[in-house]
Amino acid sequence: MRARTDLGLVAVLTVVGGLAAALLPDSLVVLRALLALPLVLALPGYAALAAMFEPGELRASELVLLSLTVSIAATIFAALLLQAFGIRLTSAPWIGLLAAASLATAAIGDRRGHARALALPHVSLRAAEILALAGAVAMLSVAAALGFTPLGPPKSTPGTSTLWILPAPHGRSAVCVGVINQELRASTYNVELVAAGVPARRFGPIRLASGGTWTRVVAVGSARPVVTATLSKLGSPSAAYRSAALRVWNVATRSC
Amino acid sequence: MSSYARDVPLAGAAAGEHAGERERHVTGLPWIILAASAGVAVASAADALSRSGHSGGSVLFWLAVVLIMGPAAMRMAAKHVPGGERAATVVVIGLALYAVKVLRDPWSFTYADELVHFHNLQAILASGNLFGGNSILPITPRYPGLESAAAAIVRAGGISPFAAGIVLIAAARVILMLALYLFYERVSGSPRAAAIGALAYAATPTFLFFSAQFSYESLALPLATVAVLTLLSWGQASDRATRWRWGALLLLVAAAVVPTHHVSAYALVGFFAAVCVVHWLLHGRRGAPWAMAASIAVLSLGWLVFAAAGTIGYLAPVIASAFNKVVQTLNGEAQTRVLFANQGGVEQTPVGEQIIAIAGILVLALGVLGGLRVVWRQRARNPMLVLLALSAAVYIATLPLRLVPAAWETASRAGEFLFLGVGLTVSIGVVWLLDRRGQEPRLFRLLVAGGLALVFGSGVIAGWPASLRLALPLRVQAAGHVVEPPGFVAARWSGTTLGAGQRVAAEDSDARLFIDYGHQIAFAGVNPDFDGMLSAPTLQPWVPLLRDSRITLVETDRRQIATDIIAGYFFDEGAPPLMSAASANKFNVPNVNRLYDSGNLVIYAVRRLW
Repeated sequence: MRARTDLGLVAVLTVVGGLAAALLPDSLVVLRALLALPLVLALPGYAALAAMFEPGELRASELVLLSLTVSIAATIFAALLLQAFGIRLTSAPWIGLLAAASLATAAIGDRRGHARALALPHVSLRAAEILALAGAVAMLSVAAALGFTPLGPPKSTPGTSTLWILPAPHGRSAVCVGVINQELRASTYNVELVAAGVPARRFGPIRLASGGTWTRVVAVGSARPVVTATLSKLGSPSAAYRSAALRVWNVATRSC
Repeated sequence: MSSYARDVPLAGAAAGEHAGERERHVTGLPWIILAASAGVAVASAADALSRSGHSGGSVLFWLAVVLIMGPAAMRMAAKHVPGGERAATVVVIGLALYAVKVLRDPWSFTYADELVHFHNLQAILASGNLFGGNSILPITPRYPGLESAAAAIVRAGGISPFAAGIVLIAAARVILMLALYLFYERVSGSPRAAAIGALAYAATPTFLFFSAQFSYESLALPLATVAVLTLLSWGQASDRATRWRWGALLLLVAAAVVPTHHVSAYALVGFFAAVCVVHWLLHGRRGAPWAMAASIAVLSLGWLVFAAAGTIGYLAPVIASAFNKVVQTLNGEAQTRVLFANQGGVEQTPVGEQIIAIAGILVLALGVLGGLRVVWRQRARNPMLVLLALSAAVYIATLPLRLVPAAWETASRAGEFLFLGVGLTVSIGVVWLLDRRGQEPRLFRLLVAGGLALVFGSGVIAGWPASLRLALPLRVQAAGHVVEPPGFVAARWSGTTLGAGQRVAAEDSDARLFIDYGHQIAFAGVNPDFDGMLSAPTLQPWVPLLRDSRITLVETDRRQIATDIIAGYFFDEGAPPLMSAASANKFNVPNVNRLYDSGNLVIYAVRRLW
């Protein structure tokens, strides 16, 4: 394939994208996305169109549209093809297939003489237009900052607190009991456990920040009795704010 | 001359417009980008005010609409604008409007269909296989086009599934806007009409929010629009080799629609068949795309039979119900739907917005009438043009269906397809009107911009509940920590402590959170009647349902809003209306574990009941 042509660039970007998808770690996600996403969203379509159409037969806007469309279509077909052959849709076969299709169709386009010499697009902007674009970037940054920043809730938003109980994992004769503070402020709790009608443990005061969690594993004896738990909040310790009950030990807990 | 290349209604007007092509400098685009970006920032500020409980968001939202649509519409109404700038402008506006949707909830999907498809995406990534299960909408995994493309983005780019969904729908938006522009340009012959038409299409009531969600139709509709464009290119091809190339491309794109979305595929088949019929009536059988229509019909039928047999069972009740309700309403046996009201029929759209909505529909109807008049007076015989003009007329004719409760959604969804004709017809009428003025005074362009903004606003009001247009509290900052609503916390807790694969019965909105954030198999709705079970005062009659569905967990949520699949995911504001305590507490019996209690929301382990 001839260098310094659009199809030569497609080949290079395909190889680079494939390597990025295979080798770059998650910590370099932005770089990996920039390099590898064209392999899904642009390169297969562009190469296929170059194989089908002569240079200049499609306008720039048509080329952009159809490159995106055919690339997405190729991605869908690649998934169906791999599925039909019983191949799992992991990175290697899927991205490899898309890369192979891009390289093959780019080679066909090149053989048919459809490669175009690379040339930078000519864009001339006046100073005011450059300022307008800079302003647009600033506006979008403001929009993103406003959108992505968690804000305080409306004043009337009620919070809540959660009490939960589960058998301890691995068949132990114990229960896991936990509290999740979903109040919109730090809160203080007491937790009481009753096993077979007899008070078993009392925990508290437990102070949790908003969003904080508390968990304990409590042995309750090999008879696996009915265990009830009650949660009360500081200020009204006698009132059960939440209640949970493990009456039948038939729940398989994965972790607590 | 090909029948598709004749009777281009604005060919005369376009001659003057193309003079602008020689002017390479893109004078308007940077300013349109600036205005659209400012609109996005203002919309984001409106969301911030709303989610933090401050007033004034609604005014800012409408200001954002004006900033995004107004300058672009005014520029596109001008005669001498380079074609490249027009194409870029419609893409910029499409993406700016998409950003308004994304910035409403930039951390997670919160639309009912998004949560369903997000589950399918996660399943593909976890299993490496297509066609997994989905307990909420079982038909969706049978159409894996959207999720497979998103999964490929995750695999290649290493980004999160949520980010991949956002990127994919953004790409779909670019495809849709460019396809509309190029299609309208080919049919009308006028880049100006094409750009105005593409902007007018954005006034589809579902465009701003519903069609921008991570859902199969949001990808399939743009792909189908490209298929329609390639059909036109195929029809207008001057030689056999070019025709073959466009034919191959057409089949490729249409074939991608088939495994992506059922209704879009059938609409595409219907559109192609309609083109054939109109062509036959106007020019005879030869030259009509019979083979193309038949090929896509065979592909759709093949997919229906071999991959997605449940589609008929899924779609038939919806269509039958809509049809029956229309008949009942016409016979006076059923009540009409209250316009501008939510699901419960409670009035909620402000009067001012109701006036805007009605005024926008009237302006749209006037635009359609103007375009139809141009097409009629030219005795147009271009089958595509005639068909699109008919579509526009049918769209206006279907508007009364929005008064019928069960037909409202069907009419609304059909509108997305029929609006393809509305956009073109309106733009033909507008350009004809502008050209009659000769000197295109600024006042007329201002009127066009105002009209488009009005029609767009009307679509927004009609397409999405006013109370949900702006962001609601989802991830809130509390004492330096970020807190999520109780439904999210409960779903995550179930996945962490109990593991994936629990069979959970829950209210409609909570069930969607369970499948996504708890990775459970969750059930909701009326078929089978889990809604009835959760709202019933006694438990015993429902034990067979629990047994038959092998339910292990039941989540009761007393908040009435939990039954709302559009609004049920957010923090409450004030004390929420509650369902009866008896309904929720009926599971509090000796052989049922009460595992999780967060007040209104309680999780029971019910395995011992069956």
